[in-house]
Amino acid sequence: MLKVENVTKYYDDTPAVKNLSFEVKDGEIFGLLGVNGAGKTTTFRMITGLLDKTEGSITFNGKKIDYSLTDKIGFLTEERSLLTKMTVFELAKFYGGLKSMTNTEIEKRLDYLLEKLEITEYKNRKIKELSKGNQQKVQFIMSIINKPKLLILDEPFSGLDPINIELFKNLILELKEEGTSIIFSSHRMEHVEYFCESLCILVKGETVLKGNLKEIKESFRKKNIIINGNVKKEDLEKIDGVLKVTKNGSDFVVSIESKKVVEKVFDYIKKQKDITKFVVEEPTLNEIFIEKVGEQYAK
Amino acid sequence: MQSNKLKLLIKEGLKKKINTKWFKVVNLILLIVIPLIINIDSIIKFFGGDFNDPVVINVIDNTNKFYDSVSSIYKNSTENLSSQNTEIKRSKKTSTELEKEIKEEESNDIILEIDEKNGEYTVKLTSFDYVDSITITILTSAINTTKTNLALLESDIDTSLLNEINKPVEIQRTYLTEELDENYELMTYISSFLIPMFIVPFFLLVLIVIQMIGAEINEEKSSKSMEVIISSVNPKIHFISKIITANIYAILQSILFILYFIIGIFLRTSITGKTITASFGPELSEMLNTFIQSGMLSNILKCLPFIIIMIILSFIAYSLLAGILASMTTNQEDFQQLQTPLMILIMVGYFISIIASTYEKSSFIIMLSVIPFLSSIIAPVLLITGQIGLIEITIAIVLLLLTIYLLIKYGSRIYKVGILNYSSNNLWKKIIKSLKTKE
Repeated sequence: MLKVENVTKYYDDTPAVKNLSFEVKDGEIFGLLGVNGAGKTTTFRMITGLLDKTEGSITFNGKKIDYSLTDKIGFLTEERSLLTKMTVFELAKFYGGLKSMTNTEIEKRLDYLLEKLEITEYKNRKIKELSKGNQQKVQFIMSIINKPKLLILDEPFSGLDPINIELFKNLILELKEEGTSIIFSSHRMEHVEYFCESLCILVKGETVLKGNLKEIKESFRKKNIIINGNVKKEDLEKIDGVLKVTKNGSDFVVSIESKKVVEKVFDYIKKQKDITKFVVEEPTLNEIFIEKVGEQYAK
Repeated sequence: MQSNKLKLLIKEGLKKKINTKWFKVVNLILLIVIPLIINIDSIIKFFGGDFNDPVVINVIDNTNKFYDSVSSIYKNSTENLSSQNTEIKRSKKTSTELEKEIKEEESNDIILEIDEKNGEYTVKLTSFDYVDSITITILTSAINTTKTNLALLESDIDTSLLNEINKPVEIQRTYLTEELDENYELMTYISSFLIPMFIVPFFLLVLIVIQMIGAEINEEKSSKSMEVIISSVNPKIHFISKIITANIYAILQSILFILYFIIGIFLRTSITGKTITASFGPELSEMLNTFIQSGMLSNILKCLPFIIIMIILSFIAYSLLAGILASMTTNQEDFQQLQTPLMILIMVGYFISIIASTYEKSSFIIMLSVIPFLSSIIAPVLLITGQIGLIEITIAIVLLLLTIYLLIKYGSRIYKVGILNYSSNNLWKKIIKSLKTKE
């Protein structure tokens, strides 16, 4: 289990991360979110030991993370971190070797991962000759070549098409099932929603939201009501407590400020004809993110 | 565990450098070019040309007095000059006939016609093209000496007296300072050949090491693979691996240079059928003999352990400095600019070493010879030429060791911060801060 406790990092007098705390259990995927410059990369660098923290502690299975533990950690950086003049196999041997793996172990694991990501034919190809998407696959392979116990994924789906995203998702879930603690960071909220049970949103280094995703959604005041039927947008907008009405195909998406407004909207709907859909939905993570981050930026 | 990673980093670093198309191409070119340069004279001769045949000096001695003496003096003067490929002989042909032949063949032969008219000697030198100044000087001297001898003979001077007059004066050298070596001037002359032979390869190899370290670190930084590497390996181990890799590569390249040189020499001895020294002409043999007899070789052998220590330490110091500078830069272009001070340090050492013989035992130069980085070139040169002794070289070594210690201690702190720094903003502030941090 990864435990980040009251971690603070200052660059000179500027705080990059302030009093950050979270836990990632074995076999859990944790979302660390934030806009660019929020402090995510600094946090990842502190976890992997690349940066010294100013205050706080970071432990993995109760031990301070140092170079005796790094062999069990995998790190997929947001930007490409590949030595492109090498072939895929050569790079795997290099990165795997740095994780204290033998060449036999590396080749066996590489073959498995290449097959899983459907790029077996690229094993002996130079990385610079591969497409952007395939380079991202290689980058992902390199980060999990050592079957890490702790995995940091910073924007793992960058440059991938939907089919390849599915391949990645399967591998991530496989690692989760094997008990790997995963920290997941992405600007694509639907991916975070798909994977993460708990998360933390950072704004300018400060934690603005933290906890279990389900609980966060439930506690979020704003809800959405999806309506399909013969209703007028103007009438819906006039209901007290309705924030916004948008059209999504033939559906109306009614944003309401709290659960109490549902009844008022339902009272209106009952009087209308041809209603085929009336669904009260939890807000999307995207909406929560925009609101929470937006609030902080406004300050 | 970290030592295994160090081995892996060194292995991969060397593989990346050696297992490339360009390393093989460049070394193949060197393998061809170095033996070609060593055997360039044989190659030129192989393709033929006038230089194969000696330039014939055709003497038409209408006085019947000059030829024997002139040819004798000329031959004596040129027998040790390998550059003088000439042959002097008496011609029975007329100058008109010879001129016609030379013109037709466009030959480099010379006509030297000596006449006597009313008791005065006249000499006419005819050639198709320019004649080199050494030949002209020796011929002029031979004719003038002969003329003087003839004048003396014609004045009925005694032969033994004439020989006494012509006998060269032997200059006896006396040094008021007892410890001065009578071979010193010769040694200085030899040093002027030997010193560049030491400095130029040193300069080239340091350059290779600096460039390699800079390129390696910048490649890993710009590709962001540095983050992945450093998340598995201690920056200090990574730093050390770069230093070791670059120096092993420099040693390997030096061995290959020497191998190509040996191949060149082997080809030369096989082609000319002579020994190594003989194949380069009598001047080299003579210089080598003097070099050995003068005691300079034994002096170098005595200094060799110190020179080797200085060279090894210098390579380490330059590599450490290059690694620290490379870690601070964000791309190859920045590193190229930042390595200029290193180049200047080597160049200053080079020039000071060259002028050291002119300003012999200068206090200022001796002081510079112990300053780290400058001492790398100056100290060994001054030691060989006897301008500094055991005390000064020991001081130079101790100061260099101290510099290496400080570079490792504080440099590794800068390196740790530098390799993960991608912005040149507040760079110096970050460096100063990193120096204050304890590991």
